[in-house]
Amino acid sequence: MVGLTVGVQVGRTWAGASSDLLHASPAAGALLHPLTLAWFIGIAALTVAAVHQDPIPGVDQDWLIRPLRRTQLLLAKLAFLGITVSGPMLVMDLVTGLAAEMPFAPVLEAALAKDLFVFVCLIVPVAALAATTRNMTDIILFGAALFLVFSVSLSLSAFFLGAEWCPTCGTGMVWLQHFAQHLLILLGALIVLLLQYYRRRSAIARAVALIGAASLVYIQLPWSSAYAIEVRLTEPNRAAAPVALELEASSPQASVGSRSGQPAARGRMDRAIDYLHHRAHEDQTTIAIPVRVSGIADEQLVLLDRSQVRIVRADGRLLHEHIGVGRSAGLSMDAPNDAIADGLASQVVDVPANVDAGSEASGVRLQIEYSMTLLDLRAAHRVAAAGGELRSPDVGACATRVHRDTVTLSCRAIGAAPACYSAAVYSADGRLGAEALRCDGDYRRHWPTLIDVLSPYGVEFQLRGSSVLDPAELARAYFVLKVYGERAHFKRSLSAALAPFE
Amino acid sequence: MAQIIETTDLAKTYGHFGALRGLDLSVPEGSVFAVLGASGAGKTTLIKILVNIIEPSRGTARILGVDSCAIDPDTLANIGYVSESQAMPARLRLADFFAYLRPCYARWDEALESELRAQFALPADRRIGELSHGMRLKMALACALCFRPRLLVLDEPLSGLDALARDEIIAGFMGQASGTTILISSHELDEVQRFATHVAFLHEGVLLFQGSMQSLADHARPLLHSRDGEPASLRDIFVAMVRAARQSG
Repeated sequence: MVGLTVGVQVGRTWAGASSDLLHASPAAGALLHPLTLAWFIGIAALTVAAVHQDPIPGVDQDWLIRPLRRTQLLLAKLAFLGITVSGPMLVMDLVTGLAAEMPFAPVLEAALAKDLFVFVCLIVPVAALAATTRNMTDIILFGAALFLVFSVSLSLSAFFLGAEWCPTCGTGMVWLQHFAQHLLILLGALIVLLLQYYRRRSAIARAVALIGAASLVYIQLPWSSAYAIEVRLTEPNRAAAPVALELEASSPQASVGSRSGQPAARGRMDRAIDYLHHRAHEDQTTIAIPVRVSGIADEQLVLLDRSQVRIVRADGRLLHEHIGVGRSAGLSMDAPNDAIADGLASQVVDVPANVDAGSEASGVRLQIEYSMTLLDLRAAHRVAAAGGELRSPDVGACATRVHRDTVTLSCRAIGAAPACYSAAVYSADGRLGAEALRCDGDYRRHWPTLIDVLSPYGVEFQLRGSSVLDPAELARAYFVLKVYGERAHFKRSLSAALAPFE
Repeated sequence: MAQIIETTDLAKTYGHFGALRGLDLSVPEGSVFAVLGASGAGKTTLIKILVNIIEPSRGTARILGVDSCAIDPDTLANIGYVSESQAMPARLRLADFFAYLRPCYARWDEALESELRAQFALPADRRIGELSHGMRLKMALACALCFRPRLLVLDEPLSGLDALARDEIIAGFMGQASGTTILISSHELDEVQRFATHVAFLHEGVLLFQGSMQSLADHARPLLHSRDGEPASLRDIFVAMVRAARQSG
């Protein structure tokens, strides 16, 4: 079983190394996902088998009457898994990194972090579940029960709370929730292991596991806490101070209409509200409000993490509230990949039919609070588009290739790939041919990778029919690769008084 | 005589079912103490509580002077244990299992191990899972004797065995465990009568009697009026006691 698990690890490492943009082996690509699944199953099965050598539930096991210290038994099993799973994994990660001509120290650091992560977040929890069962059938049934509890909890939570079931999901701060969940899993696993190895309380241990599975869904970090932690983790600065958002004064228009149809009215804000008042036949109305963004310097990006839209009466009574994250935050502009730049943006607000804003005698206010992140340029590199090579601690190792009308930039970073990067291809005389911004909005720090010690990333542009850059020019073209990092997290608010209509 | 096992008001319940109901038991050091009773009387429950495999619902048990719930590896190193239902690592070969156990016991006697393996004709290269029930019990007994335990606990070691295997097992523990206290549970009354120095009768979780074989005869005399002059067998005494308990209960 150990040999099989190591073999799967070797195969998966080969498939991963053969599946980047420049060396796309069809066989490796086809095997990568099955081998990744087999890798997880192999580690889990080996862990379960090691624990089940001396099962804990039951009254007939021979080891129970032997003079064995429980601590030694537990540590021996964990040490065995460390040697048979983590050891080969560390060797393969080092070989992978060094074969890609990466520097030894960062590869070792990333490999150790990954191995520790796999051990703590996969092997130890699986060992804990195995400790509550006697054999493979038991653990499969118990695993199914855990999955059922988790799924039902997830469904119930989403049904009753909607998108708010997970306040940080879809934002760059979700890593804090994941971190908390991993801590919860580790804590639960340790409790189960201690209960089983020192008290043999299988029923209580199983209950802890089931409650833990439900807690993974129900224990959610509130947005305000996640934001406060993220701000605290960021070095204080005033880089975001110049960034401003205003309702567009020179063009005070809003468009309204149903989600599915054309705008039903276009004009002043109060006309929009008037429309809301008379639109009994609509189930939902969309208002698009122009917002002017300014103060974002060159080589800076702003990501919208979350928007909170509220329609309130003058007496403070809330008529409608909508919280959006990522794309559903509603603030969009003609910029790639959800990034906010200087210029005119549009805030879309969906108002359900039961919000009768127009009937209020007093004024109604629209309040929007944005939580945003400013990113600034951390590294910029230029590399020839045809056969170029680039090595840098910021971006890892990159190579380029031109094939007919397609130009490819393929990189591998030690550990995680940059969360936010742009790549653009220029002609020899500096004309922009194509550009792409890949921004996941992931603000985690030092979070190890789970599967690969080297993470591939890159872009591929097909320039057939390009009016700017002719494919014939690609031989002398060059890429500019830019990496961005988070600089500051900040909030901005908009408020508009909606005058009562006649 | 010092008591190597003592229980006080020991009880174990499973839901509403009382497997043990307030046992006060004392096992003298150096005795061959047989716990007798029909299937379901609570013999195995008692033994598993004594070696801390299960916890009592009420009361206490002390074994080798230690609370059974706080039994530690040092105490277990002085207890040999054989059970008819003992689950041993089926894929290990016998020789490997002995090799695995040797470092666990500071007083492991390798000469005695060789002697016992020869006496029981244990095949070194066979896997444990491939052994017959009798052979597995002999192996378990050999493993339990090699470290010369102060207390040998045998849970139904004779059940399901043919006469030859029974004799070998009995010869094994009686021959090699001199000076060791033996606690044996069984419902094979005729066999036990051959070697026990003390007995306890368990019936539906209740202790009907405990004491030496001599005191048992004295105790049972009023119950057995029909056999003048002829010594009563353990079976007769047990049946008479159970009947009396049923009538009074």
